[in-house]
Amino acid sequence: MTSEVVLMNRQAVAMAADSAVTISGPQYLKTYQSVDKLFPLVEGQPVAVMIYNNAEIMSTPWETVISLYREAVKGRALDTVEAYAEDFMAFLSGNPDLFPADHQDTEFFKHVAVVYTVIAEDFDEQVRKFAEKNGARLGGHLSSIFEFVVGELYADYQRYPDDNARADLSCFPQGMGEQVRRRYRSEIEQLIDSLIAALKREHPGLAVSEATRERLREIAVFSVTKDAFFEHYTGVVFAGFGGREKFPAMRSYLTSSVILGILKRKQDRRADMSADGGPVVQPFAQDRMIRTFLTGIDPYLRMFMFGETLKLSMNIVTDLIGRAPGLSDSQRQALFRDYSENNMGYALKEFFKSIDSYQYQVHTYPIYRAIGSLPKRELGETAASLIKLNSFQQKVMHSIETVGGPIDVAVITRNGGLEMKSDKADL
Amino acid sequence: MADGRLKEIWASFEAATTRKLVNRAVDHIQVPHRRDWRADDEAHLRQGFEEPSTTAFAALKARLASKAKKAERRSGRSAKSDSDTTLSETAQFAPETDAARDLIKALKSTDYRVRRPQFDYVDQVRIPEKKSWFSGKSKSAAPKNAADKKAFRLF
Repeated sequence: MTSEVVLMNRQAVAMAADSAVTISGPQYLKTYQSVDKLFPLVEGQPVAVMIYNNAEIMSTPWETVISLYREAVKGRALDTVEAYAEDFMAFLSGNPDLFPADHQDTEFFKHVAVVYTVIAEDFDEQVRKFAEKNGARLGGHLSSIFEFVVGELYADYQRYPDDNARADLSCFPQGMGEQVRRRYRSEIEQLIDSLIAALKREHPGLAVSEATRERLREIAVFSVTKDAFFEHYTGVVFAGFGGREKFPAMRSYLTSSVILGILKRKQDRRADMSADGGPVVQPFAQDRMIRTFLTGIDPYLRMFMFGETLKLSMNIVTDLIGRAPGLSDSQRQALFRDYSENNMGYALKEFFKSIDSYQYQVHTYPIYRAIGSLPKRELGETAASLIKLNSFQQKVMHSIETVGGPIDVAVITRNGGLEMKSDKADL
Repeated sequence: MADGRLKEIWASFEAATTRKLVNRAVDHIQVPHRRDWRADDEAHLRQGFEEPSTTAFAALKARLASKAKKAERRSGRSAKSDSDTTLSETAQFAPETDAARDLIKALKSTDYRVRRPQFDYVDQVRIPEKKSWFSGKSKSAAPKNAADKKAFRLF
């Protein structure tokens, strides 16, 4: 894993990244702490790029791909950071020399195999949990468990966790799903057969209905077209100054494989400094300690406390209404509904908003105000310190340090261009 | 197991396909796991850690029961029913109201980037044994809207 951050004020951008990479397999888990994740994008131009999560694209190291792009564009300046980002994405997409058609085919098959592996892993986990509680009855439930895990992933591709309908990715043209289905029909069937065969080796009683197979076919297509990155993906962050930009800008993308000549991608964050806007602080990948520092509270502790407050409030109201004498069941139900929807829900929302407001004023705003006026050197030091916080937490709390090692820092100003600092030892 | 599963699925596919494959290795691929922050956090909790809302509510129940007993002793009456001295189970079945759901969705959206919620087949098929909300009838075995269940399991 990785920890990265982008800090921007009107004068400069600072980007910082750790150097840890985690390599895992069935029998091992190992980290190395000398990996590069932060690179200049174009020779002589004030733009840099950082990567996180998967260190490779299409089985090719990102470092290699970025250096090929750098050679190809020969120092060409573009007007905006967004233009640099899109140009880089176009280089990956429409480049049969880089990723020939049979390479793209193979990577699509791997992509689907990974998604089906997620299903297999879910199935293994559900079987284990079921067997712990109902060991003797497992045989009769195998097929339902498989149907269940396929249904869960299918539903995840249909809806975001907030229950809104999941969108199609805008990087693909209309009809992309049908093209994928037509071109790879028989390979998707073979991958489904491979998934089922792998599971049947341990669970011969597993039977898969045609409806579930159809869902698996659709999952293969959704894994390309839907706004979801459940496969191995890479986050790519661009920041700096475009040729016509007075203030710095940042764009970040989630990227996956090149499929039928188009890189699966979405822009997930964007930030543009302006004359009257505040500074920008954007952490990426493992960002827990950075967010804790910025807000004064661990983000998961915050979620936990809010959730527990909600549950306790509901319990108290339910109990109170349950004890009130002389009410029928339906009156109690109505009273609860009215109270929880109109009063308790409102009060809790206000309560949470008020806490967030306190948090912002007392913890976040003073830090943002300072970042807004930091000179470039201090901006770089601040970015590096935020990454160090994450490293330190990992060092103290976790046996495997998935964030750590020397920290690479890039500081970019319009006047001074891109300056990079690395603490790594030479080869 | 996950990486082993990937190798199994891939090897079987390689044997079946007639397509020309390049860069066939899958060893380097990190399969994303369906894990969320709770798995890491819970590793630091002692065995049998009780959620604060449960602890606080249990303390409230105990306090109310003790107060009720004292009041009975003072008035010299024995309890006619235990409905005032011990809390009913109803509070354990607080319904997932729209307002609560909205709130949870909002909280969850804050957290959402690439994480996905955990889910549990065992919960899906479990037949509730406790009494239902206010009515005293058994709850239906059929779960409520799956999305709602998932949202509530966030905490």
